[in-house]
Amino acid sequence: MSQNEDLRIGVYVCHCGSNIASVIDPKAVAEFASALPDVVLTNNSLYTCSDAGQRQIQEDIKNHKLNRVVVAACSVRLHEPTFRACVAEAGLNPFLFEMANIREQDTWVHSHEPEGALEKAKDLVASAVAKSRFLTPLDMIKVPVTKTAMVIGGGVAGISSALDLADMGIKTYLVEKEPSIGGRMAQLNKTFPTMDCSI
Amino acid sequence: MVDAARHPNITVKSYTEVKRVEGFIGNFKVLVEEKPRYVNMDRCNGCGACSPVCPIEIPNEFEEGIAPRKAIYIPHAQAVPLRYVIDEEACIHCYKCVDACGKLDAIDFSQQPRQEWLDVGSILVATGFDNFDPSVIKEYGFGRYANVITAMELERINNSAGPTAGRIMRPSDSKFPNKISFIQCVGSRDERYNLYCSGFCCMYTIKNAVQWKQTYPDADITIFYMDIRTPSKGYEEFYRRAREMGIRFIQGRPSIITEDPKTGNLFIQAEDVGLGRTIELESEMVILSTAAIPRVDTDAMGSVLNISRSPDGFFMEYHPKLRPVDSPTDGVFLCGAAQSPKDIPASVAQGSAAASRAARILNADEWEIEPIVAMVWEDRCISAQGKKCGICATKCPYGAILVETGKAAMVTAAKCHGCGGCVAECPHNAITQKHFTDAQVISQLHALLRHEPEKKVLAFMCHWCSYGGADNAGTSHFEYPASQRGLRVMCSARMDSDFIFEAFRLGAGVVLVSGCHPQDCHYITGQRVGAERFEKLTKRLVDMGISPQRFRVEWISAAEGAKYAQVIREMDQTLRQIDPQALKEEIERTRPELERRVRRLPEIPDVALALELAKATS
Amino acid sequence: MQHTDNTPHSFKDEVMAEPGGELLQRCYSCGTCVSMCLVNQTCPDYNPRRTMRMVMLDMREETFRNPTIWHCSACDLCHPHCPQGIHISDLMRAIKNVALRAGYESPLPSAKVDEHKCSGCDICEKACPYGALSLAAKTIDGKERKISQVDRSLCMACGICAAACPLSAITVEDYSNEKVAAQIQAGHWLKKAKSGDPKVLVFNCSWNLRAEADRDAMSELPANVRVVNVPCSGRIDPTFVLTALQAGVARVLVAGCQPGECHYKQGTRIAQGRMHTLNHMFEQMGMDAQRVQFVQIGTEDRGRLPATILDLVAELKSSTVAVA
Repeated sequence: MSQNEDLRIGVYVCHCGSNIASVIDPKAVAEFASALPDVVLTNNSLYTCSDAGQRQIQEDIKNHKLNRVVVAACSVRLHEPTFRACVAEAGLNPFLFEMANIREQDTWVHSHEPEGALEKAKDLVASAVAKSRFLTPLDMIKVPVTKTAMVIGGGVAGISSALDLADMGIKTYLVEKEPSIGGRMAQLNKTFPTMDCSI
Repeated sequence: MVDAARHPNITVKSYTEVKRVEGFIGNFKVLVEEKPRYVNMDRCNGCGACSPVCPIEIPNEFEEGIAPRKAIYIPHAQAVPLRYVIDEEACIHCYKCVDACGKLDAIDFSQQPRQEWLDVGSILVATGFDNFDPSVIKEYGFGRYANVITAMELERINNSAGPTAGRIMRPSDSKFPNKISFIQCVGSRDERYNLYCSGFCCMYTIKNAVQWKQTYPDADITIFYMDIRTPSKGYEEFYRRAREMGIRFIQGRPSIITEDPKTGNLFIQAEDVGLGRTIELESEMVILSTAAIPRVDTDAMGSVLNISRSPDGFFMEYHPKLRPVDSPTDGVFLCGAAQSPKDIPASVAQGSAAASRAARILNADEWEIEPIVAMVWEDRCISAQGKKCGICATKCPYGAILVETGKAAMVTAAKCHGCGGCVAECPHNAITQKHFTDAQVISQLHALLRHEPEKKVLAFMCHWCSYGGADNAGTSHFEYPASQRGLRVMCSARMDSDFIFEAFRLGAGVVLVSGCHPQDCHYITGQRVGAERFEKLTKRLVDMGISPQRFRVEWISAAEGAKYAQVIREMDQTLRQIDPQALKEEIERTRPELERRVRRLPEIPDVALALELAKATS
Repeated sequence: MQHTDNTPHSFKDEVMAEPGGELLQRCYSCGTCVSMCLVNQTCPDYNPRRTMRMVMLDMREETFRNPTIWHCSACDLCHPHCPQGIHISDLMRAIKNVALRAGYESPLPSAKVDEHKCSGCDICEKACPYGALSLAAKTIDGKERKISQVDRSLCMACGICAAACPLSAITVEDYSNEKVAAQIQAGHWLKKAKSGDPKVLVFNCSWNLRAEADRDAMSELPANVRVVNVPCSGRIDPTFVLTALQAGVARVLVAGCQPGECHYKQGTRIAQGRMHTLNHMFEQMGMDAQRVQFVQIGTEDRGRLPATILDLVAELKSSTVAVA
């Protein structure tokens, strides 16, 4: 529980080249974050997701004993898996990582309103830091895997994926709604660009 | 085709449809239904004695309706499996086929649809495309003028295995047409029908023209196009070859085709853009290069598989650049034209890509899934105190919660997908969601509204759709006012009424709750759980004296960036139209009631601390 | 080399800011509008696709100097076929409006009102498809009266108003009542044609023939058929028909456009009503109710007008023979 823990939060603000930095000043966001309680380290770098950027986070976790990492950069749909893996490699539970989306949901949509975008970036970072205080380490749930695949549709794409899976030793159901597999391609005579037959 | 049927690791299930899918990555259960063929697959040897005696003739789908087929038939000579099938709708039960089959005794009218559940670890969706019906484009006369045909019809006419045995004839008088024209982009790149480019029509038209010209060097062939798109390997060279062969390319989209009723010939009117002049070209046959469109059953298939569609109507991939064959549902992959129109090389490549993405899972002994699941605080659950409740179980889309009076509700972690509906619905705040706890969300709320809350558009977003929609607005650079503050949870089901009360208590100007469209919900019925709650909440907020325009519910898919931006713009506009003094008064006036609503929040573990910290920070 | 300007406040932006001009940049130059356009057929310099290009390339003065930009009559044959959903006639209107503000004027002929004849009855205002006519106070012969006035920038010279005016107070250059009447009789064809051949007069709208073959066929009709071209079937004053019948014409055929395809929006509909009334009148007078026939030719009706005329001639001939 967070109240029993000495929180050490690191905040990383990404420039994303000019994607973020051309609208707002990442340094200003980092400075703002440094004043938030329990934030012991802030950083802004050109590309946080780069090898160098990730190495920095890992070193900081070790050297500064960070136990929460917040990255303000792009969408969680893009790089949350990247940074989770990064902190995990440095020994931090991946669920102690939190992200603030200051690109897709900030600088990319408020390029004509840089002041508003900067205020918003600060709030998004504050929000991520606030959440990070209450993060708890979690373990992935492991589930068994049925080693069988199902391909729905017996056209050219379905047949080629089924053959690849089968060649890899995976039992595959090829489900086709029509009485015969083959799909559209079976209807064609010659095909481009080699003018050979299709079946 | 034959390779697939013979492969020891492949079981072909033809004439079979997917009815239901349950489970999750690595552990799907799929209900399939095999339609009755009325022909015993083990006895039929494909000899074909039955078909000639059948008295029924109906249009043959495989031949694009140009030729007939019988009620007992094989789709085509190279069908796999090579087994006959009886079309129940066409069959008149004369039983002549039974007599013809004789001793083989393969015909069996007692067959019934056969359902079975199959256990699979991964699902690959390769459901393909349909062809656009050009009869809706009245000006091209398809369906009215006999000699206007589709490219697919030409494929069958110009095929030695086709209904004319490869002898080319035009429909009106069975004569050989020497002067033919192709028209491109029929139903595509056209905002009246489909905005997208079908991609492969340029090449199949050039292929058809080259094939024709090779057989009939004297043929007079014209292709009307807007742009010729040949970006793949060897394609531009193929296009050049076509030009060098003497096929005429005219840049200009025909506006109208008229027919000379006497000859059946067609007059195409188009501007030759290069020439800058309108031309009229007489043709003996016109071939329309129709667009590839999403299959008619895409919606039904999408709701079975829990995957959604892009604005073009095809299945949507997880990420257009980085995860192009993953669907938003873990363990379900997309390939071929089901995802977007594709030619053969691209379909084959994507089939292989999807196979390798699926093999990552299928070759693993176990797979890790995110622990974002529900958890019950047993001491808070009233069921444990012997009281009847069980609301959580009724809201769970997966049957993951077991409630027995006298015991605390129990969540089966492997079954829970983590929508958070039970958490938000529990009247006693006895359930939490890992990684999206009340304390976490409340902390975020306070941070987002720490400064001038009355000027903010607070937007709750679900992870899968509306957060994706907001990302899409970003990647498309659809601007909206920076007054927006977004808060992500996994599903609209998790958006607790208390969060919204708390947002208004803090003085938020306007509040948006946004999630998936009902058919797109990542958690089957999670969206519905949220929607029902928001409907009641809308009324309750008004009763409390909150102006109705300050609370809005919107369903926004991950493809609807434009809609997301528009909703935020409208809400910002709404906020600006409210008199600031009146808003301030409303906030003050409604605060006591809102405080009463959220008074039990601090009882939830960590929330009191979160509130305290928020206070200290602001 | 063409200098282009793609900065804000260019000509393009000016046109796009005008109502109707918004969708300009959607045009991908497919030429559908051009090949659907009947103005382009007779006047190839009028090319809406090229005009849109010129606006996009900021060729302001050159666009305005092209007299054909005024030719679009908003028949809207093109719009439903545009794959980008551009309302081309609205866009042309936007360009015209910018041109008007820049001091350019329509070079097209326009209807003219004889102020002394006009009674201010307002019928013309209701008949005009373009809202080009309106009543305005004016001092005529020392008295202030409300009379009809023409807005030259809106008038397309279709002549619907001229046919509608009960006092013959409106004239359209080249198609005045006198000129049309002269054409009906010109060349003494009525006397020259063989006495046995029934004479047929065709009033043909200038826009209903799309196929070149049909236009050729119209100039190769037999000597007992006379074709008088008018800008629109709506220009046909019933007195033209009466003049022709009085002069010895057996049948009058009026050919207009198919409803929905009229080059001047509603001319064909108005003509249909007028010809119907005329036949009704003939019937009441005990005459053959089919003395005037009205046909509406669509853009897809290849060969229909020449065939209709020849059929009519043959039918008249056989009935004349039968009577004889």
